[in-house]
Amino acid sequence: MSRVLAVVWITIVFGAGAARAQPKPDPCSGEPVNADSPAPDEPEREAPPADEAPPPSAPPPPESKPVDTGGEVEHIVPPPRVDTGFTFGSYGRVIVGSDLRGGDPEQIKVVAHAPRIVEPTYLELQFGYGFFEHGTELRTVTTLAFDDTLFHYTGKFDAGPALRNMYLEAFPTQASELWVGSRMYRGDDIYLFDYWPLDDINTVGGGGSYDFAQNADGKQYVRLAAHVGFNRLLNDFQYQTREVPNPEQGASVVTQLNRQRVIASTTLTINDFPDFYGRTHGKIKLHAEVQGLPSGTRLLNDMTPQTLPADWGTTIGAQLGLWGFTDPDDTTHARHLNLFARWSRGLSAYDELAPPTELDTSLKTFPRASEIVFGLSGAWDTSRWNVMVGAESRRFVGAGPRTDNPDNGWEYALDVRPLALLGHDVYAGADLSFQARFPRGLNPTSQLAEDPGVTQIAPMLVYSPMGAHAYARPQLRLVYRAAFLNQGALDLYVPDDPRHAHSTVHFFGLQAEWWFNSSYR
Amino acid sequence: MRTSILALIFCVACTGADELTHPGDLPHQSNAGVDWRDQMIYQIVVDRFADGDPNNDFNVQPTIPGQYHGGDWQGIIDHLDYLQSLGVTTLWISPVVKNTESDAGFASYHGYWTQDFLRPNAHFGDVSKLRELVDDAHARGMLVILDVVTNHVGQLFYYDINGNGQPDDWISGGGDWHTCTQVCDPPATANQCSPDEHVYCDKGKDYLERIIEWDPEYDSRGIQGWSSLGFSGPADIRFPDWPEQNRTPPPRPPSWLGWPDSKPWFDSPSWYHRRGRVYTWWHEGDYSRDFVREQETTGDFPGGLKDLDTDNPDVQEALSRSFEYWIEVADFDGFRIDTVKHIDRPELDLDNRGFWGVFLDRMRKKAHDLGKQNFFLFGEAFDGNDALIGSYTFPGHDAKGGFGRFDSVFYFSQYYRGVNPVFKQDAPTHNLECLYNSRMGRNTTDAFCQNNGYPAGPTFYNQPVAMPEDGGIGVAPQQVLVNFLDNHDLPRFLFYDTAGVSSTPVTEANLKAALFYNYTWDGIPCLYYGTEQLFHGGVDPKNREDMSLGNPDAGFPAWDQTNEAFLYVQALIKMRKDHVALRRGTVDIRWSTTQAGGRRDEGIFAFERVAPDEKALVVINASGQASETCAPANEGGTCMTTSFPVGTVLKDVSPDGGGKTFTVGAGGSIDVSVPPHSGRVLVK
Repeated sequence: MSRVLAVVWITIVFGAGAARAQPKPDPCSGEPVNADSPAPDEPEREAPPADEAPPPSAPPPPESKPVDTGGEVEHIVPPPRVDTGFTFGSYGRVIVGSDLRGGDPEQIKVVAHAPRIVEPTYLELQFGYGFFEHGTELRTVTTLAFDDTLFHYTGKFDAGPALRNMYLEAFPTQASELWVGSRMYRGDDIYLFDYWPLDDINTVGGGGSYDFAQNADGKQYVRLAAHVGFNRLLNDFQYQTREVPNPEQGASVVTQLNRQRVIASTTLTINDFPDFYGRTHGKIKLHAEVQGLPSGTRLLNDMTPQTLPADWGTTIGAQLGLWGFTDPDDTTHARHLNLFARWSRGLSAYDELAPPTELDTSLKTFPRASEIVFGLSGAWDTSRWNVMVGAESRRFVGAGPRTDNPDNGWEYALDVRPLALLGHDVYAGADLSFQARFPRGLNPTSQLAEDPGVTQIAPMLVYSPMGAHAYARPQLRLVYRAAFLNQGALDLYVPDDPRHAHSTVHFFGLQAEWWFNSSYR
Repeated sequence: MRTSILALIFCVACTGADELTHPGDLPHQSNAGVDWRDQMIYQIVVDRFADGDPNNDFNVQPTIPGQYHGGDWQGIIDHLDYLQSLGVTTLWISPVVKNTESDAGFASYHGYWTQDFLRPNAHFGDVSKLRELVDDAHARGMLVILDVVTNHVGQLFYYDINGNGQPDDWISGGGDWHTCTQVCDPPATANQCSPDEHVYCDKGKDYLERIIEWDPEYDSRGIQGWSSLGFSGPADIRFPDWPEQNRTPPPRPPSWLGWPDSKPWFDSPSWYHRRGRVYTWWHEGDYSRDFVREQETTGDFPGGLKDLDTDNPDVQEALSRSFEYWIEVADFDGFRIDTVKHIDRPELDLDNRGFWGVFLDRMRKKAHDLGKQNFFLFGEAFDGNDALIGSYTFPGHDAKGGFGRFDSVFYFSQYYRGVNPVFKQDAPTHNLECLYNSRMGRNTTDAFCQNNGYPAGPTFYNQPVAMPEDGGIGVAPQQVLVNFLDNHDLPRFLFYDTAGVSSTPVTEANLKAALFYNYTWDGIPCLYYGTEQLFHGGVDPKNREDMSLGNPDAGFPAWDQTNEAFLYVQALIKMRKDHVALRRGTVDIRWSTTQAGGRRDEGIFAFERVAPDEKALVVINASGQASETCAPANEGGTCMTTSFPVGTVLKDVSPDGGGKTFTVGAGGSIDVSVPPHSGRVLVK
């Protein structure tokens, strides 16, 4: 009820002439919610936290359509872009079960971004506080993330927390946004791989966006967003300390290597371009990214100075998003398709939260390292069944001089998860996936030319009280997973690894997954 | 339509997944027509040559001689131009197999501490990179020799002498000390010890008290467990499990080797002699030959490098299969094999097949099966005993039939008796002639040679060990000994040790004369990397300088091709390539000196090299004075005679010769003057 009042208040503040849109319903109550819920026509902004989040590509509820009142679009007050007051959100997943050999669940992956049917427990807690000041909407966002250290499982009274989001955002106008802080800054994912193929940038920095050509309801726009962020990882690629004599007494610790990586990005989004036959919405997103590392000097073990030269990274990518695929008045289905393409070179071909796995002979990654990614995510549902699909192909070439590097080459993954309603919010289905790599080098363990491949079949029963949407959460699942590894996949384990002997890897257990109000924007 | 678009996107990707050809499936270079006498070998310690791939630089400490410096196979590939410019035709690279990472604080950068015979040392690259190196060398007309160790592995296990389950660095007793004091010394049991052991105990008492369980001194009974209460039987063998140092039991072989699961592997103590460290290195005169042989062939190599029981047929088979693999996967053209005298002693019985009689023929057969000819096998017997090292070139015959041994050896006896005395210490050049005569079996009447302990010979076999079509090289060992001035186990030729053996300053002039000899004498010249940059380090590890740092002492930048030394070696190699007589010609020694001192002919060593189509007269002056090929006047003043007809005009084609001509006088006599520390090559 308070949310409704807020909408009314905003309407008064901004006046009836502003663009208007209906709030979308809360997936639990069906009531409209504030704009800190994922914007239905901005799937990229529904993204859960990097690596761990639910699908940003969840289809926009049809309620987000402008209300047609008989040939004339009703002028509706646009929703506020922040909640006022304190808000709380969470994303979480828990997995418990057995590998049927008496051990832990194990994710099986031979590609960089593998099917997530079995992945570790994870939790995010998000806290926000929104308010108005001089007509500007403001909000702080803080997200705590925890790894799978559970006291009741390990007996270790500890947890693995990380502070991920911690930023302040401001909306000076309805069409603009500014933010500063630590942020998971990213767009749409491929849910079944837990992977953001186009833009997934985790930095401490700031940015902003401005919507051009915003239409009356604020849903059709051309948005230009930009950001710049930094990191300085605690490894000797970017940071190194050493002790030096203190002229007075003893030693002082000085910073020997101090290289901040800067990542700047810009994104142009053309959102909700004209419908196809009134049934389908679409968007096009163009993304560009540049990374830079200054030069620095570190010391090797024998105190030999080694100069690390300045390095660069570039990325360009594009996304085509389509959603709807149903009658404009259909408010019960959530269907979408996202296609991604991304080409990165240099530093950008690697994870920004780790040092590059390879360097060229001058200790740089640019321009030799490259990554090309094609991705697909989609979902289709009816009242009786739904299906999710994810596909990815990726070509990686490391920066090193080896043309025979087994890390280089193409890899592929395909994952399909159909579910059918059995009754009383209970669904039955399976997650079926295949992943394979085609390395450009020999397997270092077997010294053979091998193409690792894994097929996984995971029948499941799902209790989904929120309905038939593929992305409806929470879900409780009973899952059996059989992963079939070919010899190439087995040979990725060193011979002394007991897993080397198991060409079939089971999982049987329970899973829970939820999200609400988490990983805002 | 949408389906088609998706298919297109993913098909574009699919086409990138080309099939990867395993290196072992690539064609092998046949080497038909290769004559190893034509080769100019260049010895490379991989870790010290060039760092071509920083991604394998783990545990690198480039300023510490005993640690990894980062060199790798990519680094050699990157500098093949340099080697080609120098004129090198064959690379000899240090061992490639996975090593224990460290031992007593030293790293295994040299590659001689095998942990796994079937996997590459990741510091240097992987097998594909290794194959790329060999292929790139082949494309430039170069051959590649691999350094191979079959005698021992790294420090993979310790003897738990006191039974406490940990590798103690100090225990009281153990090794032979306890054998000596507990068995040999007490009168009641003294008769259990041989006379050699009594000598051994007597000599060892001063220092055998301190024994470490990694590397205890030799005990002919096998290392015994022991405490203050007495013996406890053979000491337990324990392999540590220290993966971060690669000090773990050697892993079982991969399935593609076809090794039966029921058979032991290198992780079995039964595959090792377990007798402790070789002790009698320099005491051969004190012991019987059998005792020395037994120690050297069954004892661990110093440093706790565990000695394999190479008489065990399973060990022979495993080593054979392992190194067959390296021929196949990397397409090597030959092996230099380490520590050969620590495996068999054919000097005692040529018809005892031993390990070499099995292993070497297996390597030849493998090469043959791969379509390779002229697979060159030469051994390292680190010994100045010409007869001993020569024995490894003789074939044998037993009940199973005939068998071969090495095609050649690393010519250590020449180093000790020729190169060092003559070119560093001004010893009479007749020593070189004695060596040659021993080799050829001609030391029957020469008093100088006999008085100086040169055997009558032939010390090396005079027929090809195997023909090219059988994987052999088709040239007799006598003609393909590998000549060298220094190597990774010796101080650099230019090293001047004021406190030790090289108390006489060694100059670049000395080096020039020695190089002249190396590239004009018969055999295969081998150059240790960096000699052409005037590296001058002392003993290991200081003699393993970084090639990529150049020679700061001489002011040479890295890979300098303009300094005088480089140009001189380059010119010598070119001269040898240009004149077949220098490569393949037979030897006819024309002048040498039996006396040192300021004589008219001091330092002169002259010989003809005679090939079917060319004859060359080589005159070398190893001394620091200008000398000539004539006797002093008080000895008659006779000048050297040659086989050239009177009136023949001979032209000097050597790098510093300037085209100077000499005319052959009556009776083939000729007076060739040679500047200090230089030489002349005279051809028609």
